Amino acid sequence: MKDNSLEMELLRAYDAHADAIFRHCYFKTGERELAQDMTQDVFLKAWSYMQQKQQILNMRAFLYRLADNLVIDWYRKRKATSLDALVDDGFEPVSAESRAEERAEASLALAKLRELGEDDQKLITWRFVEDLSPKEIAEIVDQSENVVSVRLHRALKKLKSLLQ
Amino acid sequence: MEHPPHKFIEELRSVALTESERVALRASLLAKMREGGAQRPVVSPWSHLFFSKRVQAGFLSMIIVMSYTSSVAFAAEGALPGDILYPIKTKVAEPVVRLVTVSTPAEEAKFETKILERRLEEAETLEQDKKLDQELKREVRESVRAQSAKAKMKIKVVEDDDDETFVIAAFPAATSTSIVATTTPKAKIEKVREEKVREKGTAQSVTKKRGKSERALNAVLEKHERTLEKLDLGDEHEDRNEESGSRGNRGR
Repeated sequence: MKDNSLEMELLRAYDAHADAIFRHCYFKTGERELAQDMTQDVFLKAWSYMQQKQQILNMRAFLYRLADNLVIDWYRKRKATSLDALVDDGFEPVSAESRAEERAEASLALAKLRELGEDDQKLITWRFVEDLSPKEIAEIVDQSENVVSVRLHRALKKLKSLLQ
Repeated sequence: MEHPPHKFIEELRSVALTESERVALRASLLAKMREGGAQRPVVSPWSHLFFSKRVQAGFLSMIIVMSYTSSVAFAAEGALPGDILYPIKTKVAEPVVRLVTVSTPAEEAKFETKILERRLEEAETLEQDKKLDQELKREVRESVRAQSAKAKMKIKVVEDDDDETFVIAAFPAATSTSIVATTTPKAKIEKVREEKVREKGTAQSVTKKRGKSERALNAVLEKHERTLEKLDLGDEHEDRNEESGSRGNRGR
């Protein structure tokens, strides 16, 4: 019975935040399928956390934090594996076709967003695309609201100069 | 706070899961959640053995016995004649080591010699600690004598093996000599001379080998005698005592 209510809670969270989590992963990785896998992993991790009877105060912030950790792990693994080793193991670099698909999808806005640094990119997306408050962002990045506001201001200034 | 251009934000927001992707991902997520929820820990096919109380009791008693015997054997290693654990050292621990480490007569001789040295060291330690009373002296003497006889016997077995080697080495030469006897007298003389030289060589190598084991034996026995004399445990001393005793008696 309790499991059912937990299940419902998580599915509600999925319906509300799946797109945002997918976007976060996609902006970072640039790979649609990988971003989908990561999205699923984020919700599975949240599910396992809920099953351990752990209380989640802010589901949205919690999901972003999980997503961010997954992306960081992915970056680390990617750095550790050289392209030569991947090719030796039978990995085929992304085909020209899928590159074209990605190019079509990656709009000018996305290209400009990626020109920002890692942290600024996250702040701009969370604040203006996902409508998170500075307080929620502060919770995710584990910093004070003031610091987040200052950093947001700087990131926005940088983006504006890029868009001019 | 100012905002980035509306168009820029809308473009970024347009990146999303398609309806079919969202539905498929939701279904997959739900399946995995339920699969994980129903998942039971993997059970070992042998687990019933560990849950059986009889087997558990058996394991427990085995562990207790093993830890007890090993700790007792370990404690007995430093035991000296007269100690409670000394019989465990000589009657349990040493025979077990003999059984495990010894396989050839040469190894046996070496092992028994080592045990003899051990007995002598024990006697020395007792003497240093001033623990050698008359009864213990007799006991130590008996065990040293017995071990000495055992070591001598084992060394003799090794020497006899050497003699056999000598006979085997010499035998083919004798056979070939008898075959040579059917050939010409001159050739026969030459062959016999060669065989004699070869025989001499083989005999020399066997003698060398035998000399080595004899030297080892003598070294141990010398040490044996020295220790016995030092500890006032030797036959001579005993005999001397007996002799002087009888002389004294005669004098009276």
